[in-house]
Amino acid sequence: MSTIKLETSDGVKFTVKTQVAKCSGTIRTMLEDIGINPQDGEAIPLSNVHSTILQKILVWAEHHVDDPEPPRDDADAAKRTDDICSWDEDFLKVDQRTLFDVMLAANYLDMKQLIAVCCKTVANMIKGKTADQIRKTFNIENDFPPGDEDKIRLRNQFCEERR
Amino acid sequence: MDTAEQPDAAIPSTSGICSSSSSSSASGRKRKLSSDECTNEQPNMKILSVELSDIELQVSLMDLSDEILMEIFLNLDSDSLISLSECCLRLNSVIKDKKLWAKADFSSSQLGAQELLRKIHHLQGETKSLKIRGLTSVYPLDKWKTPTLTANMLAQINKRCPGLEHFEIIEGYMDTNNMAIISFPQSIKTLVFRKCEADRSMASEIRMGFLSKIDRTLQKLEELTIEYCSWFDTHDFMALSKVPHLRYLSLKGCANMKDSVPYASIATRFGFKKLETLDLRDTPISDSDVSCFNIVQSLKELLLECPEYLRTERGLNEYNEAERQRVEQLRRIANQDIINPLARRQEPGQAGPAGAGEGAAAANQQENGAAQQGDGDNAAEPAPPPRPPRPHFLGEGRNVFRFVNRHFFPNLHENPGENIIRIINRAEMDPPAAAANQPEPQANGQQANQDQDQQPQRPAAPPLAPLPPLPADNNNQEIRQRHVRIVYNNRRNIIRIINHLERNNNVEDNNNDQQQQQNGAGGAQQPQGVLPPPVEAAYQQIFEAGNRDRVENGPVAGPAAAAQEHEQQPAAAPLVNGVAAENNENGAVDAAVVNGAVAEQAPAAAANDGAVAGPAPAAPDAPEPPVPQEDMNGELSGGFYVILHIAA
Repeated sequence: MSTIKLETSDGVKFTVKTQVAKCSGTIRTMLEDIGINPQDGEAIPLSNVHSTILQKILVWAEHHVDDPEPPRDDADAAKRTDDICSWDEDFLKVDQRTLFDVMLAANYLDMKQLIAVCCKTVANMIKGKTADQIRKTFNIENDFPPGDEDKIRLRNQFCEERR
Repeated sequence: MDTAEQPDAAIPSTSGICSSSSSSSASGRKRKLSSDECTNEQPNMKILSVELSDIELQVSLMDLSDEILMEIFLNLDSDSLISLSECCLRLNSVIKDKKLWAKADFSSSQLGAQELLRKIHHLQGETKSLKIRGLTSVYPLDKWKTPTLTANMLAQINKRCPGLEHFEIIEGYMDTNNMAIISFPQSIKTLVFRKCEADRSMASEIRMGFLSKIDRTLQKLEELTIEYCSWFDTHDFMALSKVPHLRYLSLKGCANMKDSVPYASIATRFGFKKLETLDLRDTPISDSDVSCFNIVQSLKELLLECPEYLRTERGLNEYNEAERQRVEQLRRIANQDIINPLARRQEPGQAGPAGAGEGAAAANQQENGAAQQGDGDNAAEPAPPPRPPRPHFLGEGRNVFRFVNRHFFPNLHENPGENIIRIINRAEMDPPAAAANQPEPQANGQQANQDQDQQPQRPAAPPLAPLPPLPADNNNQEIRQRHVRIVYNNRRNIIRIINHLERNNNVEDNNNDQQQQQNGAGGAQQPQGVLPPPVEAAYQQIFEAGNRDRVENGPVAGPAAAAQEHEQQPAAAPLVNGVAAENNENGAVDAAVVNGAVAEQAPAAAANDGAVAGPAPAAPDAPEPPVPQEDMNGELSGGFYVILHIAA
């Protein structure tokens, strides 16, 4: 089993099975199209990924390395967020910072499946919340000009009454 | 409440995050990312990765790129999107992306018109699908009557989403004073009303206007679902049948579906040209209703299922009892109408018993709605309140409950224990009582044209028999069930009737003596599916006349008059009496319907079943005369067949 080396932004080197590393579209492209030879012993630099995050992502890739390609049915598959498998659910039970870091890294590494799972997780965090609750949850600053905010409040009044 | 539970479910996963985020923010937000920075991902990342090692940094949702945010938001329902749009300016602009609004789904919260109007502002030109939920499920709270849709809102929707194709209204309340189907966006292809209520306080005549002109407004309509809506009434068939491209129609669970024959028979004859699927599950329909729809040539699937409340012996008995009482009550009222001279004066153009019959008939249409409302809601309700004299029908010994003509499915009584479809054959009057209580046959005959549900007309009964004293006699009437049989379907309770396109119309009805007399031998040879021209024309006229708001008058006066003109025989309701006669003679065929072609269906099915499934098994304990296969089989050749869809 061939392995390759990955080097993260903080200089930590990981030795990873090629197959696992190829879960990342970015690495796959590097290996297959650009022709970086993994046998050289030279580490592939991943300057956007921190070692703690890469470690986490590699755990995920290890687990999902044998997953079949997901079916392409964008139109109908939309809006389902309750189909996250329990392993992924546990895997993503992390603080927000890690979650978003994983998302950013997964985006950089082009791991569509991981992004999709993360997106669903975040969507579940948003679902059913009012604007105020969302702001609180994600620490978002309300930057509406004061007048606009009143208008929006009014519009949203009903939702807040109910909760 | 669905929406209340959702946040709860989300909390376990988010609570840990919340606490950790608050602790980290306590350590100080060193850096604030502006929205501009965030959209540009790469430089951001560099800063992040440098700082991460030494600084505890609050990473926010806002650090994600718009692209990822879109990925996230595509998973969200429209209500959450609106909440998000109110968080901050950046999210507000992201949320405006048209991709997010292709399918607007507000069904996770219950909305009144006011709130809905606000939400509709988010809809965009690309919105193809809209789903809303009204407040009727909060009943008995007062606000269940909050209107869900208004004409103004529909106009707004029409303006904002000119391409809207799918419109679904769940648990909505419709104030039909201010709104009707004509206000709906014309681009709609699929329209769904599920568990909707309509204003019932007003007279039924106005209410029935709700669906009228649907054929002119919703020209593109292909699929219409009106499920569990008690406001749907059978006269709505007239409007629906004219929708040019209607392919799918579901009336599942509409409690008012019963006694649909007067309208459905005309509607199916002249309309529903493209209807392929009809879902009548969970409705208290009877064989005659079913046979009506078999005339629709394009029909590929007919879904039938016995309503839940009729599946137990008790529920069935209650229903039967309620129906019986209703019948009696109405008959009492009807008879009063006939002998009441005032009632005659209401119809100055017509004199004598015929006029009275007409009057009663016309009146009955209005009672129709009221009476049906009553027992549609509650099968055990004893009888409709004694309203103004509006008889529902005049029939004697009406079928108390029929679900599917047992001759359709002679081989169905298998699998005891899973009783799905129950068939109770006609409850018949004791012959003497029936004869004694027979209202004037002439009136009766006309009535038959309109209501059709009364089968046991006795053509042999002397015309103009004196009216019996009322209502004392009614108490003597004993409706007894001649035959009860329980028929089982396998698992799914669904029976599909599949039409065969090459229907053989050359069916001769030997029992139809009177028609033979009328038309001579040639008339008897005439295919039953083809009505005598004047009658056909009259029906066509009625069908066309449906453009008036109130369709109801059409089928009442029209066919009766036309029929009488044509046949010139007082006791003969020409279109019906043949079948009625047949009914009385063999006591088995249940299809008394307006036109001959429909009437033919039941026996045709019977014959075919016999052919397909072998000789129809005789009813186990049937004390009744032989089923009509014997006499019919000769003339019938397999025009259409019945397939039982038994789920594996």
